[in-house]
Amino acid sequence: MNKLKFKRTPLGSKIIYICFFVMFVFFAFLYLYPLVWAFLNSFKSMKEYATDSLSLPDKWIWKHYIQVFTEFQAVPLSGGEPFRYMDMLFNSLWILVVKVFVNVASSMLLAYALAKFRFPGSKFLYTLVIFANTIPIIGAGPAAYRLAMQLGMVNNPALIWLMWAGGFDFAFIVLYGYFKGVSPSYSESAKMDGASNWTIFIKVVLPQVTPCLAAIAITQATGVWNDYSTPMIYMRDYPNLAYGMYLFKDSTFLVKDSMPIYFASAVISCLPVIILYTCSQNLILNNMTTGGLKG
Amino acid sequence: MSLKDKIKQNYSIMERRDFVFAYLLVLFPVLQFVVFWFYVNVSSIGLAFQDGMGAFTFSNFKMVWNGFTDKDMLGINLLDSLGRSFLLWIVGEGFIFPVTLITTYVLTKKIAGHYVFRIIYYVPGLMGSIIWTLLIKEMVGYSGPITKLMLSIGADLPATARKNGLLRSEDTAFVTLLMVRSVMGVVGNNAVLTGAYTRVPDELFESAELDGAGFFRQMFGIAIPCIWSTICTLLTFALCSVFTCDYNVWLFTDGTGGYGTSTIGFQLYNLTYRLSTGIGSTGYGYPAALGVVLTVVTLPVVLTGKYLLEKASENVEV
Repeated sequence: MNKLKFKRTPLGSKIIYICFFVMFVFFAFLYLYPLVWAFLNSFKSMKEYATDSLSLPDKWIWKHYIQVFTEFQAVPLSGGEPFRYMDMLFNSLWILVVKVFVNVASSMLLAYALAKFRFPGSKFLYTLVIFANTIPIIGAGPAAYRLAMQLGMVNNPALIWLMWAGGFDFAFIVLYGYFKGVSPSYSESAKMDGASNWTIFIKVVLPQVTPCLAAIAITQATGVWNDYSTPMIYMRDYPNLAYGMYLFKDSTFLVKDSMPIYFASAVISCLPVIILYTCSQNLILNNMTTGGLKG
Repeated sequence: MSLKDKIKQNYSIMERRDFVFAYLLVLFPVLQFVVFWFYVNVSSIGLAFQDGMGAFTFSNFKMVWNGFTDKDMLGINLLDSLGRSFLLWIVGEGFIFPVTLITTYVLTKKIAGHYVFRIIYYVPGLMGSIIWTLLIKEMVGYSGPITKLMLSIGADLPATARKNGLLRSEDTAFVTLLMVRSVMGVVGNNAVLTGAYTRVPDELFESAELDGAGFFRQMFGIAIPCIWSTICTLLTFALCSVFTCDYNVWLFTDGTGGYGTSTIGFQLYNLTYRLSTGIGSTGYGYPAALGVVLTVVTLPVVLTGKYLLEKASENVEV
């Protein structure tokens, strides 16, 4: 949309926009306050935090940000050796890369096939995806866990990715619409020049949908980075940062100044995703859209 | 005529090569779906009718019935949980969704500070529920700034809330969750809605402006009809989430669902978690039966909702 030309805007609309601006400032304060509060308290001693969590720190203790890496420990529920921050950071990174890659790749293959080819069963498959996305089948968690146990996937990085590679999801719906919108003229010309389907897919179509793939990957990455519930059940021996933060609340006895260090770790943990989103905001907003759901 | 002959008759060699390619593309996603969605759901239904030894039984459904009429195996009344899930959902979707629809539209109009506001509105989503709830929990604790603020303005807080914080009092815990949901839920569909709004051609707004259309005429007459299919899609997804979302109750209550905060989504996650740890597990049958009952109850509502949304989608003229 074009930039708002405020001077040209009628008076009634001007007043509405001003009201919204004030409301946005208020909500921005609400949303930022917890983060700023955590940031300020991360510099306090535990005693100072306990006595006054609202004021500015008397003495700014910067070493808490180093202690996150050297002293932050989370005791696993099963007992045993505590997890260190760097271990959890590493787990967060590999889980993020693997989960996002397999999920987006699976959705992409399915979406491309259904959007660009008409083959026996394609209509049925499309209906099935829509069905799976819009029909609320509730309470399958225990059965999924039982299957994962039977297949030896729990706490097994070599196999757990199979569970994450579902292509019948929201990413499919976004990608399907995007593939539908890609002009067939380039593919047809390449085909006339003798290019194989694989060549067309990799060299002609993929470059055209890269922005959409990147937008979906970034959106999913923020979710995966912050997901504590999946590692809590399926990857308990490989806790990511989010799950580690959850475990840390029961491990505070291990560390002096535990809450300020906890706040410091919270600030550090959310920085990567905030930077990633800030840098890629336009990419996400221009490429994340979806149409209807007629199956 | 066999299927092979039919295909040979109806499709050229080129088309048949495309078939092989297309089938190769869908092979893995379909296999994954069959194993981790279809099999899982079918086995979940099967588990609902089995006891711990695998013998056929209706006892799991009896336990669900007890859960609704009295208390379930974990001491939680499912009817209350159902009501809370619905309330949180209503606040999230019934109130927040229209608000998001309007605020996103205003932000796409690129008012002053729109870029920064858009990032800030996504901050709760970016920080993740674990950090977000940790901070909120600290803030509504007995010495937290929100509790202090409420006391300083003379709010009549119950003694338990004054002593233990807003989330540790039967009278204030769920209301606090509702407040948090209503304030923090705005980020939900921001990205998809903004993506849809930015695709509406500028010319439509420019000509409407020339015709003297104000803010609301432009929004309800042009923008919303143009993105109606996206709205319907998001609402359909929202309809499905009523009982599956735990609304961070797990994190806010340290996995207890105490002080009258338990929701159905929380309870389902709790039951799976207990299975995974083996501590206080109810077995597979009870959660599976609860899932079957909830699916049967929700299915007609969602299907009707989806049908009505599709009908509404057809009737919208741009």
